[in-house]
This record gives sequence, C-alpha cells and structure tokens, in this order.
Amino acid sequence: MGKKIKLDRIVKAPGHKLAKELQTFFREHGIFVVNLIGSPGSGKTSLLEALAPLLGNRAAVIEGDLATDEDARRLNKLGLRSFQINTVDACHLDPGMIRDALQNMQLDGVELLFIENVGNLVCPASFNIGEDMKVAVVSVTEGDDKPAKYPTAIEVSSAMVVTKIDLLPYLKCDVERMKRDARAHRPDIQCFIVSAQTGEGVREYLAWMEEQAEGALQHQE
Amino acid sequence: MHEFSFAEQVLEGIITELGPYPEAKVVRIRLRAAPALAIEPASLRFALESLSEGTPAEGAKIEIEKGEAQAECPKCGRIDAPATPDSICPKCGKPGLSPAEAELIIEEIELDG
Repeated sequence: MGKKIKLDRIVKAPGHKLAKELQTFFREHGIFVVNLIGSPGSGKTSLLEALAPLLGNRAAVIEGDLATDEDARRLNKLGLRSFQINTVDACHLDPGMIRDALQNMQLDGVELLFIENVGNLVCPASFNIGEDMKVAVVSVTEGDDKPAKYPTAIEVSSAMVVTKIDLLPYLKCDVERMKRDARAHRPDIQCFIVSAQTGEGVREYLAWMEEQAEGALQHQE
Repeated sequence: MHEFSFAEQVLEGIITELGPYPEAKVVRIRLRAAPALAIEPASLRFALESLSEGTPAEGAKIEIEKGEAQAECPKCGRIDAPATPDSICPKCGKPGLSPAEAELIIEEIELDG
C-alpha cells in the first residue's frame, strides 16, 4: 500500500516573482501598465498610432516583435516614446525582457505604459509581465469567430478592442457576435469598437483606460 | 506551450518533498490547475513523463484536474467562483471581489516503498 502525502504545494507561473517585482516597481512610480495582446496584423500598433496624439508625453510604449524595430520607429515618429524588444524566436514577452527594456528607457513623467506583445492570440495570454491589465485587440478582418475560438485571450483581458471597423461595409463580420462571445467567456469585459483610420472609438477607449489607471493608482494611496 | 516550465517546477517540488523518503518511488501525482493558467492537461502530462525519466517520479500515474475559477474576496478570502462584473462577493455580499491569481497546485503524491 502506497503512502499518500498531502502536499497542496503551489506552483506559480514561470516568472511569477519577477512579474510581481515589476508590478511593485510600476506602482511605486505611479505607472499604469497595459499589456496589449492580439494576432499579427490585428492593429495593435495602429491603435497606438491613433492614441499617440492624445497621449503626448505621459505615455510610453514597449514594443515586442520577433524582428525589426519598425513599430517603435513608427511610434517614435509620432512623438510617442517607444522601445523595441526583439524576441527572435520567442512567441511572447516574458518579465525578464520587460526588466531589461526598462533599463534602457526614460520613464520620467510617464503615467501610462503600453506593452505591445508579440502578435499571437495564444501564448501571451498565459504570462503576466507586470501589467495592471491585459487588453485583447481583435480586428474585424480576422473574422467574428475569433473571441469564441481563442477564449483564454478573452478570459484574461479586462477589455476587448475591436479594430478596423471602417472596413465593415466590405466584410461579413458580426461585431455583436464578437461582443456576445467575449462576454460569455468574461462577463465583465469592456468592449470598444474602433477605427484607427477614422479615429472612431479611440477617445472612448482612452477615456476608459485613464479611468482605470486613476482608480488603480488611487486605490494604492 | 509553457507546460514544460510548469512540469519542471512540479518535479522540483516533488523531489524536495521526497527528502525524508530517500528510497521512495512516486507512483501517483495529483495536480489541480486553475482554468486561467491555460494549461493543456495532455501537454503537461507529456512534459512530466518526459522530464521524470531517471527520477523517482518516473512512471508515476499523473492525474490533472482543471479546478474551478476562483476569486478573492476581501472578507471571505478565496472562493470557488468566478469574479463577478459588479465585483460583489456571492458569499457575503461585500464589494471588492477580484479574480484570484491562477495557480497550479500539487495536491497529493503517492509513494511506494
């Protein structure tokens, strides 16, 4: 007869400790951190471009891509200070990469930090990189079935931003279905319907984001 | 996709517990994974089988249960329920309910010898 040992030993997600340290660092510096996750080409950088003129100096971006510094250059050109991480083969950002990026960044006056994760609707959902919240970016061109097909990305996200809605006249895409499916997996998810091209919905998203940031920072005081 | 790193930590944890039983072999491992961890049981089982070769846990029967979604209430602590949109605790009615941190728990191991 085997001997049973009750352990109830907790195994934390990889990088858990460092993610907590990053969170503390951001809190102490009054920085609210948003981890943007979404497929390649879902419009994460375009969303940031649309936000850039509204954000000015109080925001910064960490860009994650396998290769090139194109995204950081796009945003820097618009006056949104951005730092590029190249993950080479890695399919998501991890807390170690964020720690290293922070050593190369100037965060004076920054209240809002966006971390644009590697384009991937699967892996980034499983990693905390010190953020206050994840936001899922899903474009209408990907198909309205994506929130249902990638439920984990939705479950971990406080908001879903549906992008490229200026293309809706040319597509068969039911935005209501996207919202419904998202809410089925995460009842409290906030849904924003935006177009980075026309600017529609961008201010609403930012206003909500700022409200969340204010709430989080006040909560800490 | 990150199942291997979880498997490494699980094995490490189990081997540490074997300290007082140097001759023991692990015949069964029972785990419970929070749904938000996005752990695929088949991948985790494969990772554990691969990594445990040559360790006292080699060949152990691996049971993985997907736990309930959990939330953290300031008064009741951890509860087996998802966080609600209005953040009201379904148990005590107090506000401030938030999603609990996702964890993998090594609930129990069974030893032979």
